[in-house]
Amino acid sequence: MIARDILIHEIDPRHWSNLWHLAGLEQLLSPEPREEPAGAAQEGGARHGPVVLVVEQGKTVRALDLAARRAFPPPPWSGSGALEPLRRRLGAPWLVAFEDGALARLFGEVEGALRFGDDPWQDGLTVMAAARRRYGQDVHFTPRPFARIPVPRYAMLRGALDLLWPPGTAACFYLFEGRVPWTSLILARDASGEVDLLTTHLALAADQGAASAGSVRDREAILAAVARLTGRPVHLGFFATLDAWERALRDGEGFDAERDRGGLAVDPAPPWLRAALGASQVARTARGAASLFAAVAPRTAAAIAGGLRGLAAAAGASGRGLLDPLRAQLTELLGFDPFSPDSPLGAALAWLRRTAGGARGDG
Amino acid sequence: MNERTVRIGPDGLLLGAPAGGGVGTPMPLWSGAMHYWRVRREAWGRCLENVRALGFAMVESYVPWGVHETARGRWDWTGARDLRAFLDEAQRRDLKVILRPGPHVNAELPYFGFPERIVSDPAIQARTAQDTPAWLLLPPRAFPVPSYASRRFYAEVEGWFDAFAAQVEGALHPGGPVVALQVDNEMSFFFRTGAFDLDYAPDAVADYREHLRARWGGDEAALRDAYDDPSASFGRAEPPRRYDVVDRGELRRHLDWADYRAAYLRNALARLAGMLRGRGLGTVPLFHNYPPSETHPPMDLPGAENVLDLAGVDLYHKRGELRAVKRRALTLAGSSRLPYVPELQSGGWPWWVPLLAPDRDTTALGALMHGVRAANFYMVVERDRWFGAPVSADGVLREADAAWFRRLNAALARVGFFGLRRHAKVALVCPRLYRQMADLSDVLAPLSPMVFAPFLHERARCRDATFGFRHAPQIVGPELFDAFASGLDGAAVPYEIVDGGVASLARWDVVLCPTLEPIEAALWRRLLARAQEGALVVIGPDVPRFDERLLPLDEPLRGGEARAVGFGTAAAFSTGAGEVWVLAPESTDLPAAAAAVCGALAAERPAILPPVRCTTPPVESACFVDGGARVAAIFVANPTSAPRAARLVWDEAPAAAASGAGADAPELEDALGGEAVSSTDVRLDPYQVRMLVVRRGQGAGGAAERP
Repeated sequence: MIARDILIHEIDPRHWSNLWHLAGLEQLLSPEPREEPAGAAQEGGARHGPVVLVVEQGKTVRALDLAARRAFPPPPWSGSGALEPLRRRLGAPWLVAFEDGALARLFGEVEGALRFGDDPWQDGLTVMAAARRRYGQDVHFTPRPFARIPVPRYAMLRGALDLLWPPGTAACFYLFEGRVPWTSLILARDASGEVDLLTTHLALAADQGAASAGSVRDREAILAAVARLTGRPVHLGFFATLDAWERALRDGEGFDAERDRGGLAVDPAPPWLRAALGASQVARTARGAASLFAAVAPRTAAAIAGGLRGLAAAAGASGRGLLDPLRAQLTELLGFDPFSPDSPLGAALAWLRRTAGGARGDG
Repeated sequence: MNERTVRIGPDGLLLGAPAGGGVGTPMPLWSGAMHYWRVRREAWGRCLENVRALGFAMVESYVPWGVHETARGRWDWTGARDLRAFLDEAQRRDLKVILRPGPHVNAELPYFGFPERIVSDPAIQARTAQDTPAWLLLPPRAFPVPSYASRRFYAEVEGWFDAFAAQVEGALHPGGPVVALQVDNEMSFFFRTGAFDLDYAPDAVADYREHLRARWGGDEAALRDAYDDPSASFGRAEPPRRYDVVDRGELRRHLDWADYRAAYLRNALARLAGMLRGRGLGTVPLFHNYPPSETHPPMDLPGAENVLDLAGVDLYHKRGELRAVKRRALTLAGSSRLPYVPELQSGGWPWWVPLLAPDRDTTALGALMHGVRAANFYMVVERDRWFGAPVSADGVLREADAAWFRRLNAALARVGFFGLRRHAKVALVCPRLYRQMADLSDVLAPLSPMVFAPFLHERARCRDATFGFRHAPQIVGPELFDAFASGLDGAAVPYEIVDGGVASLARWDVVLCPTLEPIEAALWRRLLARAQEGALVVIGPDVPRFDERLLPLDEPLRGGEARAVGFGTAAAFSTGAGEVWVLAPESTDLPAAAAAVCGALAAERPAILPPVRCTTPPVESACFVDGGARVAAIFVANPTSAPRAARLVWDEAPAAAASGAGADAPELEDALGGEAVSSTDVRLDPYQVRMLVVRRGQGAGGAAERP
């Protein structure tokens, strides 16, 4: 899905940084360096961040609090069945335990399965499948919200992407602030379905029509310029002011309201996305989904929640029939109905809702 | 064949230096990167002119094997890939050139610049302890990394270096613009430095056995004794594949493996350098860049400089990571013959945390502040898969970034920065053995310590086994090192970090080194010798008794009657012309003891304090003096997220310290901004580093006179 020779260019550092900030990724990838020896913390009292336990010969030899970046006195190992009570007692959002040599075996399984020349998405699925195989043997993870979701095959994932964003088309995403782009992203898939271009509005700087685009109203000029730049029709365009985007994410009703107010536009919008953005009552279901990352990267949690809100909205909208053809095809491709309330995804969303409530103390 | 035309000097390159070490023409090793093959050929000229306009006299480029070899043995040096034409263009603009022919280049290229046929060849691939290929999962394509012990790999590299050498024939100084060559790139098992991760490829295991034979002097009986294993032999030795130390014999076996892994990287550098020299390319300095991390084992700065002319460390940091920049720059200052950053961030690549202009400013000035004296800004000309360079791929200046480079380069030239010396008379030594033991005992293996070490201290990530010693060397060693660093910072004592493998400690008046019962024998001899020569050497908490193979040391510490120092936290012994202080072994609070000792040092040896220093921590300062020992520049850094005020204290009246008795009171000037700054009170924005230069009045003379 990603071309080996993908062209990535014309990126403004500040706009790129804004995009990362939007997704909360900076916090994940830029750990502060240690400044002083952390030493050992005392167990009890304060809540922990994500916890890693290293178990050797039936004994916990190390307990690490990743958020605090320190070790704490290791609790006794009572088997994987006792991990969830331990997690609750520690107040950790999640806990993983590796038994003797598990990491090395996990590496071995992954590296024995990777194939030269595969797409990065295929590699990711290979890693997920290997991790899944080790679950319950010598790698233990709690909670496991996605335990019921099968790891899809690459062909399934590829087919799903083709449905959502067909090969041979482009897509763009713009957020504006003060009559200039705050961040932007232009992507294009070639006829074989490989994403072969990643760029931003800077690539349109020489285009008379789009060079001065600074608001949602300028989208026609932008879309025409993107089509000229990529030589491909634009399948999906998202345009919003930063204010409208933030309001829409804060408020489950926000997408409708902001669209009506003119602060946000999806143009062109494939049917599935129109449905997703229109189903506000269901969008509310994913509000505040403080994710697995909440303890280490609150912005990432918010971004994930925002993304899931769209999926949840799509699930609700399906009742109106807008999504039925797509839903049927995705179900066939993935082997499960991703929008069913009883689906693994539904279960995951319900779990996220519960987690969010607990983390925020609002039930 | 390789008669030197360019050498490494104390301030940069020496062009035309005659054999025998005579004086050549000095030229700062200070450049910006441009990838010729990624820029339209029509834009080369404009790009190079603007590299010059930024204030650089030198341009750098990778030369990627995988770009030039279009099929096995078929080379493309045409169009934008015409390296020779690029060199000519540079020379026409009076730009010197640094080339980096790999064979590994990264450059965000598929397969890190290797041809596909190389990384897909199973006979070339490195192997993990699980006997799988070792994959590097990075976009746009994961690939199995090559083994740098593979004979077939080197046979293939011969062909590449032949092709490269043919292109640069006659282009090396003085006939052409090329003044230095880099050997490979960020050599670190492709960032997989876990002790039991790789390389277990057949050629690597064969080399390990040979290394073992050399390390034990070919004495198989000694090996059997050491391992407490009657079946041990050089020819059949199997490397450990996981941590399974149950006794000293096993620990020795693990330490031998750790030592081999460092030798593996050194030998690879030596072999590749030898291949370049064999093609007549050794007339200019050959250097290497370690990846952006601590240069702990298996990486080896002084070891690399034994086989190359120079080794440096790349720096890519967010501005909040100033302390990491400091530590790495201090390590370069104390461990390299020319503290060099072969890649100093100027922008960033899309799949890493975005690096912005304020990050660049803080990192670059922070590096200079703490001792870096040579650098290559990467990238100065933009290209595919990069953003934030001051010159676009079409050769257009991006004014905001370009202005910063012009100001920086003008300021460095005006103050004569490369001829100044940072005041640092204290060495903080980092023994390599304890870091090796830390990596061996890492509970997160085979995850790379490069990933976790920056934010998980050894006490968190290492097993706490003592191996029969009084303290766990892998934990107490690094912990005490950190405590010494904090203590020196707290006492405002400038220092340099010295890798335990550095051959001489002669240039420091005070040497601090955490010592446990085992230590590298050569380092122990150097510490004792330096004390004999008159230095003050601080060690502890243990007086070493064993060498790096855990055999008894034969050089005891001999001293006179002890006296208490540091409020009783250490005992001082006279030895020769100097003194050794030993931290009290029974101390239960080693960090506090280290801090007390550092405070006492400043009182006992006031010359270690700089003539100007900051008394408002956490703001820090660094003082640079010119050839006449006059203060010429002061760096002030705020490592925090809040604005800060720095109070500078001058030992003597500022006028005397800066420009000699009787001169007018000096003024300070922000080197990049140009504005006047108080000589005692300096304001700093969050994470800001300011370079302040001394303005000299008429007649005072000096390097910092206003133009």
